[in-house]
Amino acid sequence: MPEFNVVEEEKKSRRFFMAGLFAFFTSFGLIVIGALRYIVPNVQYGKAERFKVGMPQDFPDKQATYIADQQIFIVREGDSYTAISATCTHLGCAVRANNAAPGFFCPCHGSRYEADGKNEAGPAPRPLDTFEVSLGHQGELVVDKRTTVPRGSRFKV
Amino acid sequence: MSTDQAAPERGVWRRLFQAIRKTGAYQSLGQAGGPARLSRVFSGSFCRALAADVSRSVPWKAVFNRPLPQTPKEQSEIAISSFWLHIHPATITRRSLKFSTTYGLGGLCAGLFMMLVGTGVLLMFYYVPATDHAYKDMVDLQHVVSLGRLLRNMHRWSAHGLVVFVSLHMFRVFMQKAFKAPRQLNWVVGVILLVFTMMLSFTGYLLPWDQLALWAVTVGTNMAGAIPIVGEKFRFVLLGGPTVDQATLIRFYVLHVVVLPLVMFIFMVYHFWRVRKDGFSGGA
Amino acid sequence: MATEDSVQPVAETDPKEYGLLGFVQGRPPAVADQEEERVSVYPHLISREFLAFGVMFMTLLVVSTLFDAPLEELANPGKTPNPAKAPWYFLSLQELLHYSPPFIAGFVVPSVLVLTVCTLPFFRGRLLVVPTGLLLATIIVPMFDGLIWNVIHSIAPGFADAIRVYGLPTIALLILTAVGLFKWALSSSMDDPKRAERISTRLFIVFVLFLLALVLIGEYFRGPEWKWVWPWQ
Ligand code: HEM
Ligand code: FES
Repeated sequence: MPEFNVVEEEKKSRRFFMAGLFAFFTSFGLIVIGALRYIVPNVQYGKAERFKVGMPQDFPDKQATYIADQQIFIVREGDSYTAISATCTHLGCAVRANNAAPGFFCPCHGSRYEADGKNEAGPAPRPLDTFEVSLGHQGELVVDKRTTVPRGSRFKV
Repeated sequence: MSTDQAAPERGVWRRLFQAIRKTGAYQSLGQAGGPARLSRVFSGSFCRALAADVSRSVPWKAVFNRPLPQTPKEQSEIAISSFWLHIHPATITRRSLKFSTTYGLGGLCAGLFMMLVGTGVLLMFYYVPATDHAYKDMVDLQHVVSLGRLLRNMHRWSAHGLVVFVSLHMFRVFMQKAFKAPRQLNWVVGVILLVFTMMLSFTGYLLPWDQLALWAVTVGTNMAGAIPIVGEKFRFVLLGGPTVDQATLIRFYVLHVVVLPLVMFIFMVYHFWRVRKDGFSGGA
Repeated sequence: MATEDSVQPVAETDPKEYGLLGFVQGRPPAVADQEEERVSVYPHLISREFLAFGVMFMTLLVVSTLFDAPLEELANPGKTPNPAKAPWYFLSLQELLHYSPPFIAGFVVPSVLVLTVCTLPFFRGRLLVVPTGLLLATIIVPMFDGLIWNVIHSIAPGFADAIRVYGLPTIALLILTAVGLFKWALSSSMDDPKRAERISTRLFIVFVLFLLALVLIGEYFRGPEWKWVWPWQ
């Protein structure tokens, strides 16, 4: 007759119970972590990233024209055009064109940028982005914010 | 016919007057004659008698089950047996009662939190968390809705007040070294409450959808984006997209009116419970 | 073997019944409090609470009648106001943002502050100078991030550019400060517990004053482009 060891049996059933408890909480925890996926949005209903900004000749020469609802500047120099982002590379405020000298400044923490977007002072860690410019079907300028081009690139019309 | 009807009515009034004359409040008024009467009204004995009378009335008893305690024994029992008062111990030391022990700061924080919930719920009757609506609703609250401006002001100033008084409360706890064992855990709970106060303020700041709101939240969430590796993802989830927009407004709204206050309330209740269990440093 | 007769009827001598409410560690509180005068919470504390709530409510009413909460123009993603200020209780962080990269001012500083405040009660006796000193250091050190970075930049520009966004000067200095504070706390100058406590209290007060100063600077001394202005300008 096999001996019935109370202590061993108790240990066994406790071990079984603890394993069950562990399995329960692990699976519950995994389910909760998985459910966090819910709060990461899958679709965006934002503005188009590629858009028309107007006819080339409508932009004043040697000036940075601000397109407010897209947060970009169109800089015209003769027949060449550049699209410079107006989003400060520090913390995302909208930079403004300087009043006197060419270049930009940020009203939030005082970053300064040169005319081509290079950061020259303040906390900004890198230059303003420069976006790709092309011509649309009716000869209008089209800017694509998804594609950045090297600083100083110009689009000749 | 008409005299028959009038008779019981007269009876009701007469009985009412008789009842009033029998109350302690009326008698305490009558005890002093002439000009001394007014001073008696303010001297507490009138108030006490009035309170005792009210608490013996039928409607009072229907709600609270028992009259206001009169004897010392009843008084020390009520803090334990009343649902509303049982967060308190039955008795405390005179030292705890002194103003300079707490400066009333923790209690004031709890009071401001209640004010915020009250005024906030009222604001929700008019406010719609949509980018083309929110700002107009704030302007309406200021100019069109009766008492809207007052309510918005009260909500805003209590929020600022809560930040001030939570900080002061923390400062007094530190200066009196009331965070030492066995109260360490309650200090940690306190810090959590402070952080929640800040998060509530930050999420609430976006809701008016004005220039201040948009740019404070743009800068604030971009700071979160500066965390290496997870920062961008975290910011994206917080905003519900790449920039502060409709998705952000509804996220912050839900956090501000439901999630954060609820969690903060639970921590507050735990905070109070721990003050009891650890023993108040002024002598519980 | 005990019969039922041998059981004493306790109830006759002591009519009270006791139930076990719970176990607590430490001294029975009653012993310590015996000498202190006690009063019942009702009405002494309850009346004070009602009075305090009443005063608070009335003050709030008066303040809200006299002063309006700010409401600026409709949000405009294309135009940042100049200057763009955070609410006052975040202005100390915004001021630090002026000196150090966002990773430091926006993440490292708040995290270190919250964690240090949380663990503060677990440092006992002379060790209390460690968290209090670290709190103070956490808001002072980032101000020198730019300065130190400039020095590194003049020696090794490439390396400096690579570490700029991570604010390594600040992190290194903070770790050094923490180690230094530990050494200081264990040194013989802290042998007197009274003195150690006094020093930690002072460090904490200076920390609070510094935070306050940063808030005031942000609120009253910062103008367009976050440049220094005098309040009367
Ligand atoms: C919404 C926020 C808070 C509320 C409503 C609150 C409320 C209270 C109340 C009513 C008390 C009783 C004594 C008193 O009035 O001072 C108390 C005690 C205490 N609080 Fe808070 N508190 C809050 C935040 C904090 C914070 C931020 C800390 C510290 C980081 C803190 C730490 C403590 C500690 C350690 C005690 C026990 C003090 C003692 O026994 O002397 N609390 N709190
Ligand atoms: S966001 Fe432009 S300087 Fe900070």
